[in-house]
Amino acid sequence: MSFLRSRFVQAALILVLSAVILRFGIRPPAPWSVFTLYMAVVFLAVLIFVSSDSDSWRGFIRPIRSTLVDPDQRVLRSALVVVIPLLLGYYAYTQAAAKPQAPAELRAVHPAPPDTIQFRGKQINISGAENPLRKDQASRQKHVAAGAALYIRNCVYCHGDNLDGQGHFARGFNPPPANFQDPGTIAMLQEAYLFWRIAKGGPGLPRESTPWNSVMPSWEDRLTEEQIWQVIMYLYDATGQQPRRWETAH
Amino acid sequence: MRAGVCASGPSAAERACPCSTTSPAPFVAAARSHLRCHARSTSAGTGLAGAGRAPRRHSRRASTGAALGAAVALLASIVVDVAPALAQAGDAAAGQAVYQRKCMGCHGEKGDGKGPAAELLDPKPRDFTSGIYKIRTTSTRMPSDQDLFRVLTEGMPGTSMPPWAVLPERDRWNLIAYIKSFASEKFKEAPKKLELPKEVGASAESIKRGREMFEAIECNKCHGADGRADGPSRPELKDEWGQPIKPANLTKRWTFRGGPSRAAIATRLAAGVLGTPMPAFLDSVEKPDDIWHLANYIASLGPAAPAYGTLLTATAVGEAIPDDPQAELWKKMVGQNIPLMGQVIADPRNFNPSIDLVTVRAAYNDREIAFHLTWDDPTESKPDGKQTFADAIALQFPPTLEPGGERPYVLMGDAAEAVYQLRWDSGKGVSEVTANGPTRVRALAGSEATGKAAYANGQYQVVIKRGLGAQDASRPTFRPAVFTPIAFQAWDGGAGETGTRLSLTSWYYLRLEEPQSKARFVIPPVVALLALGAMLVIVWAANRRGLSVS
Amino acid sequence: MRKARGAFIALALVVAGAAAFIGGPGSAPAQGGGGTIEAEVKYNGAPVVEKLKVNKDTQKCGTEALIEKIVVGPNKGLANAVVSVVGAKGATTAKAGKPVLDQHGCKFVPHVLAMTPGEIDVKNSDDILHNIHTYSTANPSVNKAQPKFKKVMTEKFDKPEIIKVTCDVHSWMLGWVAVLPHPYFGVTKENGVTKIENVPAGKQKVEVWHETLGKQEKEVEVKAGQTVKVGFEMKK
Repeated sequence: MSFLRSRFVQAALILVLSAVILRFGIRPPAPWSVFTLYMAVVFLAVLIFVSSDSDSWRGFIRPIRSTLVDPDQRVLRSALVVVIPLLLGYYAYTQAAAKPQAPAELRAVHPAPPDTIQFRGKQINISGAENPLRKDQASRQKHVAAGAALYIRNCVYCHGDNLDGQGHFARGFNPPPANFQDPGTIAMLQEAYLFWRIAKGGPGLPRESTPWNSVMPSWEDRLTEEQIWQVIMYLYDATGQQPRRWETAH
Repeated sequence: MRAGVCASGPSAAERACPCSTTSPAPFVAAARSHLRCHARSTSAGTGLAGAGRAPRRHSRRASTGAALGAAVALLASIVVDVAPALAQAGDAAAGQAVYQRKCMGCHGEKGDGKGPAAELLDPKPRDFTSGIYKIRTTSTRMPSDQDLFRVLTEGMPGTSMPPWAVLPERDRWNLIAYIKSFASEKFKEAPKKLELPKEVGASAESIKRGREMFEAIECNKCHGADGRADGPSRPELKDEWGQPIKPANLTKRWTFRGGPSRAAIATRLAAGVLGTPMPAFLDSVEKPDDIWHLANYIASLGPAAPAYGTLLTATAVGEAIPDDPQAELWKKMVGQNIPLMGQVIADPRNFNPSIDLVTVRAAYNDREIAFHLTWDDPTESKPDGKQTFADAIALQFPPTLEPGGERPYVLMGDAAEAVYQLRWDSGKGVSEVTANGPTRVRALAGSEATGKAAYANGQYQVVIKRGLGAQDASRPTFRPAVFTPIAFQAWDGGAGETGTRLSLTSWYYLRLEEPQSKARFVIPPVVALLALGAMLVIVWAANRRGLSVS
Repeated sequence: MRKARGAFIALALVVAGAAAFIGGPGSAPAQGGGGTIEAEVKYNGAPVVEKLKVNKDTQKCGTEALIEKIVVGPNKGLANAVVSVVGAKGATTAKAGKPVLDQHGCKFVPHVLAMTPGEIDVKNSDDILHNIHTYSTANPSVNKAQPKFKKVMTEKFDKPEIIKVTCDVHSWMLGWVAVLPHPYFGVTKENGVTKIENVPAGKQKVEVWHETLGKQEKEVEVKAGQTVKVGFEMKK
């Protein structure tokens, strides 16, 4: 295993291993951008590692220099001189021949909520409001059960039985339905925020959240105020998430 | 209050907003978020292979380097999250707790399939008390525990039953124990494994024989001559609970309840699908091998999973564009599949849409643009205005393109912003309409849109054509290289769909392709030559230095 | 309903067995010395026939299918009613030959078939696809395809019960197979009459079953070598 002692081989091994682990070892798979970022960090670390002292650096440089200079490496050298430009040329071709991509869209996923909304002609405070059903601890289970029945009859088609945004209509819609199991959704929102989003649906979104695209219905047309709070209770109960609290004003 | 902004576009969005981002095309976003958030379901095959091999590899190489071994072990531990599904005895009481949280909404507290959601679903949730199960690999009436486990884990495609791979395996076995307790009498008898004839590969010959058998045993009676679920017995079919039931569309294998593989198809053919009209054919084919020939033929009717389009492209053509949906031009073009979903925004809602896929081809020349649309519809409806309505399809566009990318509301616009639609209705033909919401749809005067439809064996093919330029402000202008928002809506009048009872898509983009530039032939050689030059310079420089140093 | 019927039959069997046991050898009917029951079943109402337009296989099935829910013959005789002696015991191989249920002209022939437990031949005389789909509780239900080249299939019904038989390809096709634990039964013809021969002498309970009109029961005294008549009037 003498070749393992070569700095160059070590560096190459570290890079390859990191690439394999980052690419295939992370579930769910990391996006390319994250992958390239991590790989850049690893590459820098490897550079620091091999250049930590001059012996090490020389050991690292040796095989490279040998390939470039030594007469007995002529075949490898010639091969590299041919293959690398070809690879780059091919890469350039794939880029030049690439089909156009649809334009990227900026979309605010959790836009700032309004302070108040009109709910069936009644004004409801959103900012600072709490779920009124939580006051009555005794009826908690009743409300959660009612919320579950409402959820399964109305929400399950998009948001899924498992509340993970994987309902059987989910695939066809953009933006995809919210995944309540994800800590980036209801866990970072207040209950009143959810009330606003459920009551007003896609059409109630501000422009920066592409209201024209969301197929989330305005549930105020179909559910009562209490029913919406019940569904919200169910969402938190079923996912085990905690609603975010309103920050108290200083 | 914090406002999370997501840059969309493949990478940035992913990082910033897991699972709730948007990206140019719905399926891309959905598929990605699926990968990221629910990637637990690696294919069982890979998982198992990894499980089997990794430890051995580890022990063999342990001596060669701790780092390597540790890395492999780490990899193995991460990749292997699918444990082999060996049957386990579940605990019914523990299963009941999971059942009440996850299953009751559809299957009901008593397991009778009468949960609060049941009335809205089609097909209906399983009634566990009956002890009748559709999907089984047994020759007896009851499924094996493995069969139940597979259905629970992978779900039933084409129904509301989702895959429950997200539940811990232990929970799933417990659930099975509990589900069986609803019909414990029937589960007393040990199930016998169905013995299929020896597998026959999917050769052209086998497929040909399968087709002959398909005709001889008259699969067409229910499934239709081309397998599109349009057979003459279709309207009469009922399941054992008296509910109307649809035959499978054999060209859409991804909706098969028991999975799309040839083995799964052969098993369904051999053993039948209990509780449904689908009979067992094991003893009712000419030769036992015919089960496999049939399975091979059915598998040849369509892909195991559809490849969905992302960005729709209209191809530039130099010639006149034919009206005829059967014309050669259309056959040469590759169709772009777009999934359609139920409409649940406006009442009456459509929870169980009939049309779930439309295949789009588009072409344009210097004067006009034409759309060729293909979709399956089991009945060619002659509208009577009572129970049967017109079959219809609509292509929806914003009348004008706004620079900020804003579009009218996806469900036919709203009071503030109208949409423009190119429509085709059976018995009426092509028309241009403007809509301010589903209830405010008006035909546009002076329509110049034309088109032609053909219906055969459960499938519509329609060509809709229009000039590129707009006659007025209610109509869009189509320009090459511009991303034009487009959405689709479809109605199966024979299934009672009309008005808001429709299936729809989100906004997509249509792009009239430009003639491809020559750049792709110029840039790569230039890059290659530059690289070659750079390489030569490096080698030359290294040699010069190397010589002078040594 | 069906479960209740099954239970009833089982109960009847037990009672009959017990009765035979209690009665002892003394009251056993003389070998071959049974009597004959002639049952006449009437229905004082109009026949019920539903009609359906046929959209396939018209060369075999005709253009109009008749779903005969109640068939009434001359003298108000009710056809297709199963008359049987409740709780009787006897050799189950008494009836000669295997029973045959034919699918002919997209109809089950006979419409109602009575048999003792055992095998039955299901024929397809139509040269088109049928599927034999049974709805049973005591026996395993079957749903088997019978394509045109499969002229005969053999099925087995081991346990007594009344089994509904359908064909999903032709939804109007409906037939009934009554599996009885003994050979003392008959199915009424057009005139509403059927004869049950070699019934053990003594007091016997006679039951009528009809697919739409339900059941009725009467007691008769069977005398060796004689024919006893019993009449039923079925009501909706």
